[in-house]
Amino acid sequence: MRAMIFSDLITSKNSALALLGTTMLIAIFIAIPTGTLYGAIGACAAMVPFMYLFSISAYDEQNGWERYRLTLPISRRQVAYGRYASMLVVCVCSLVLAIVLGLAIGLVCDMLPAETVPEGVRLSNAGVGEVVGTALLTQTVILFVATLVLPFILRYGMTKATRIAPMLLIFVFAGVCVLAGNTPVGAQIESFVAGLGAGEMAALVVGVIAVVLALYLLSSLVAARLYEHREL
Amino acid sequence: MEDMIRVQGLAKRYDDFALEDVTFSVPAGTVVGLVGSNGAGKTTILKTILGLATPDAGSVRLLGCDPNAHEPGNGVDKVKARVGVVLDTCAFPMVSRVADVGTLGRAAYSLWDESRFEALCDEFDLGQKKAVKDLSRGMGMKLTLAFALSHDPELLILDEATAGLDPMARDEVLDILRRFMEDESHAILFSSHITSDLEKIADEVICIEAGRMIFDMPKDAICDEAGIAHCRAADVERLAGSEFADGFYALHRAMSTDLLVPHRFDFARAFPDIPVDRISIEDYMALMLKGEPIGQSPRLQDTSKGAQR
Repeated sequence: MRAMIFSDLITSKNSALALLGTTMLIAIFIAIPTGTLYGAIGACAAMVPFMYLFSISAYDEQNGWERYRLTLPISRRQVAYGRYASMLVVCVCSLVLAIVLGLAIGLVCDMLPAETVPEGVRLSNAGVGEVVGTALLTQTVILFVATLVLPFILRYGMTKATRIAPMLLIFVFAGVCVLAGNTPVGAQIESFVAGLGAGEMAALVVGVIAVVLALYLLSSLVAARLYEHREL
Repeated sequence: MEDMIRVQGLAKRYDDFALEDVTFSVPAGTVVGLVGSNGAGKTTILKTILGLATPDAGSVRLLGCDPNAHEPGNGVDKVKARVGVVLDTCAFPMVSRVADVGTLGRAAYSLWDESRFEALCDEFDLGQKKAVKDLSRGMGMKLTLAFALSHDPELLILDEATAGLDPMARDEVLDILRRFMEDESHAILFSSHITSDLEKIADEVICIEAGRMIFDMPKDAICDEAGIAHCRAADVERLAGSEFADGFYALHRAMSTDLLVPHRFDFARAFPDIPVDRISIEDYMALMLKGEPIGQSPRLQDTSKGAQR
């Protein structure tokens, strides 16, 4: 599995610097017009793993790399588990990046004179806990998306999976909307969260992360089984 | 000699193609060439040997192991570490650099020899900073070959490995393969359209056409024993009537008829008035595939190991 993780990370390292630069620019350009640090942190946390997931899967299909990789001493299970592990590594890295970038932007804005930047972008107003929480929850959402789409990518390849995965995500979203009834989902979450204390909120975040990680693990087991039966 | 690859009764069906009853082996110390036209089934055979496609029937053993058994602990990973593979394209991710390919080899193979990889890259004029996407087809194949040879493999499986290389580079590659075969415990399975390369290096030649094995013969039986006779119409009629014509295949040309004869020296003695030359693998294949059998019981003669047609 080590070889598979290496393979994924070596492949993506050449585009990492460009992605990092783009992410920083996007973070700044989201933070200033929206007047809030949270959007910038969310964009940072989501963009890197999301782009990684789809670009690394696309590289698999170029020039028969996926086929050739299986001629190396890597089993099919190791390929599947390695892909999940490399995705997790990228998620953790982008989580750290989003937090550091969020704190850095907030701190710099704190030092700027009044009325030169929106108040919501200053770290003193946004709060360190909220910055970390935003990054964590965004990352959790991305991990949940990966949980849903990775088995399809590994079973059918990126080209076919891009026809199936968006449909699946729409079904999940539609299912959530139906369960939510007439009140918009966002409003329900907002009212639910408003009633929670700091301790309950922390417990909720930890709980959500734990559930998504468990689903991610389960998804990797399913994906490994599916990948074993794929003809390449 | 121990068989490094053993394929027995292999069958694989797709919607528009079927590989039927393919049986052959690659013993240690031999170079086996797979020839056949496009879509004949050569790559399908290689894919089943490498565990990339599951056979519908028959069995495949790669270094004594079933490459299509995916259960953990079946030893396939260890077996694959002893095999070097070159497929028909340079398969490394386009964004990678030559040095990244070396890093990957180090991570994947316990016996990876970085100095060997760098030496081969130097020999092939492959700069370590060069991106895979900037390599020509020939250079890409050289990179794949350098990768396949840098972990001390015992067996090489090559699918059109010399395609896209200029004649000088092909000779370089063939020299490397000859050096590889100096160790008698090594073997090569080499699929190629360039039959002249097989003439230089192969010990056995297997011809596949439309998913079926046409012949499996020692190369010497083709290049040293068999021949191509250039006949007039009257000669063909004379030969067709004789019992001597068993195993002859005739391909009619505008002015003459080319005749595949399994034993050209015997033929020359029996018919000194008919010119007979040494035959190339390409001509042998063409006559077997396009020619029509003459004589009473058309079949290959004693040199064939498992000929079918």
